[in-house]
Amino acid sequence: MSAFRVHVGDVVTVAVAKTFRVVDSTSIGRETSAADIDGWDSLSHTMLLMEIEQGLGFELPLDTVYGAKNIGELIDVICSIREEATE
Amino acid sequence: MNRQDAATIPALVRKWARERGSNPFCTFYAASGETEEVSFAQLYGRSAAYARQYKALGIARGDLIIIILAHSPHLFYSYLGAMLAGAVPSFMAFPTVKQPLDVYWEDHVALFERIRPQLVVTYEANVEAALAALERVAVPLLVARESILDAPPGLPEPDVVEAQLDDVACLQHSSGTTGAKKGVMLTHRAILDEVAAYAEVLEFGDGDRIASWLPLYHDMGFIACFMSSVVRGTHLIELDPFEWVARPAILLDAIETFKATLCWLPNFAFSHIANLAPRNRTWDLSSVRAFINCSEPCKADTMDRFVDRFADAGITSDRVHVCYAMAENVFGVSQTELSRPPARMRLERDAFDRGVVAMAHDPSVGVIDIVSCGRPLPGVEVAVRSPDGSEPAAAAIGELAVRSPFLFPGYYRMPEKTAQVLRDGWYSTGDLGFLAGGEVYVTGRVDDMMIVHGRNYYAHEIEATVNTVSGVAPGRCVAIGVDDARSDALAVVVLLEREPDADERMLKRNVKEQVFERTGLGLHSVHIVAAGQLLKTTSGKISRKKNKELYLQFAATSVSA
Repeated sequence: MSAFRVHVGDVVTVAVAKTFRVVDSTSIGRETSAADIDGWDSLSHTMLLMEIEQGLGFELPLDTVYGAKNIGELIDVICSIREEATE
Repeated sequence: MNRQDAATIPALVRKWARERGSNPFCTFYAASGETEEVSFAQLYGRSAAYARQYKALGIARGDLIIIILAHSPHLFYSYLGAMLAGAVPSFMAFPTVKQPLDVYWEDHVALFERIRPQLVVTYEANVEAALAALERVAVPLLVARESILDAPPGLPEPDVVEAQLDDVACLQHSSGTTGAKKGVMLTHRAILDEVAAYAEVLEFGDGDRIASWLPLYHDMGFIACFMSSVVRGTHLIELDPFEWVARPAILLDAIETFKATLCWLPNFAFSHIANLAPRNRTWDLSSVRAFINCSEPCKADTMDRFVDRFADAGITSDRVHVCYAMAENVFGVSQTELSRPPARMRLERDAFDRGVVAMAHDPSVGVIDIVSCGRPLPGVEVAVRSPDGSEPAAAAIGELAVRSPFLFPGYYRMPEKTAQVLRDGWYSTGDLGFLAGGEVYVTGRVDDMMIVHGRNYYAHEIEATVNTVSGVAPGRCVAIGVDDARSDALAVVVLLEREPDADERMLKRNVKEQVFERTGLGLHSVHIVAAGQLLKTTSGKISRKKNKELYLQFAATSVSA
């Protein structure tokens, strides 16, 4: 696993924990989805994405990151955006 | 009243094309800052192209056309084209990115069986799922494509079907569970009269520009923004609702760029913008005459925070206003005066909870601040009724009833529902409130309706969906609305008892997914309680009120723990 992917995973996990006030961040994994976390709806998803953007230091294209089914997919999408940008 | 005399909506579309042809009708503003402008001449030409297409498909006067389109200028063309062809259009919400298309379209079958549309207009991605469902109700499909806008050679100009003022111009469908949607019938006369009455109060003139991110299947986006701009011949700045949710500050960018003067927002949107607009940016919003809070309970705190946040942009408390509106009255019922900040009343909490309006003089008692929704629009009457229909004692909260020159004639093909709410020319709104100083104050609901992000949902419909989820103990669930301080919006929480062998995590997930798929509502949370823990009313039904109190006690304990 690349260092960048590990970094994205960390940023996303911290952002999910902070946005939705998840006390035990070890409960957040690749399979975790909006349905598993209290208060995760379309509006708070925006807050989460802004938190992630702040952690990563770049903006995410909206048309891709809203379709992710779970945290694993979200991490994959973010990594692929960056890989495409650097190709 | 400055109504466009003897005109209908399609007649006005033609009139503005002749008189203001090169003026912009709408500028589509994207998050990237890119714009697409549609002039009044283009609006007419492209809408006429849709009218021709409809006529070629055999659409006749009075036929119902359902329009399910994502954000694009085709929303306007397909809608006004239907009116030019004498048909009756109705916008409906399109499936969100996370809604399975087959479920979305299947849910529309029962609705379409009842309302029998002659045509559904939608976009390419829907075709496969839509055809599978529509086949069963024999409703044809038209895919909105650019090629429709190219006038095919050999076809004559559309024979414009001259609508009459009292023809039904369109249907506005309520939100909530698809099958139970009610289609509010609106005539040309009613829309024109409402726009004229509302324009009088707002002093809406040719120089006004509305900025909107609101979806067109909602009355605020449809009437206050789209129809007002069509009827008055003014410039509309239109944002994609999806882009706005993700980047709420683009509304401020659009207002600043185009010097917009009027902007309607539900209460949660004021918070969403104030919370997420980048702190390192400033805007010049001095062109705005009024941000108007509508479609959700308006909160004094929210409005104050918005004014504080954007004071440096030129926003003062006399530019943040309140409107009370409903589709059944086309849109506006009452509006605060633009010359001063909305009035507020500080009431005693205990008295308020008993339905009594008592001004709070003692600062030590619990208080609640209620913001005025202003005076009724010209010609509109608002009355307060007791549960038995009589006039309540002075200073009492009761159900608000509305009578007006532009009140709807009924729900489409729902005579029983119509008879329940429309009696002797008065519409029973289901809203609770009171009148003071000639102004309307709205305090809550008679029924179990909950307004989330400007859309209406009924607790009993959510509970019916939860009951279909495998693993939920039959009939053992309740949906309640609680204030979410973080988002400043109502959050819907489900409490349920489970079957002994049901997996808790999967059950919670399935309940959230099913409710979202069937109603479009994202539940805040699902809580599984022990068997027999849900509280009942004296008549043996699961009590929303008692279980809400139970939940709030539990939530307070969890926070303090």
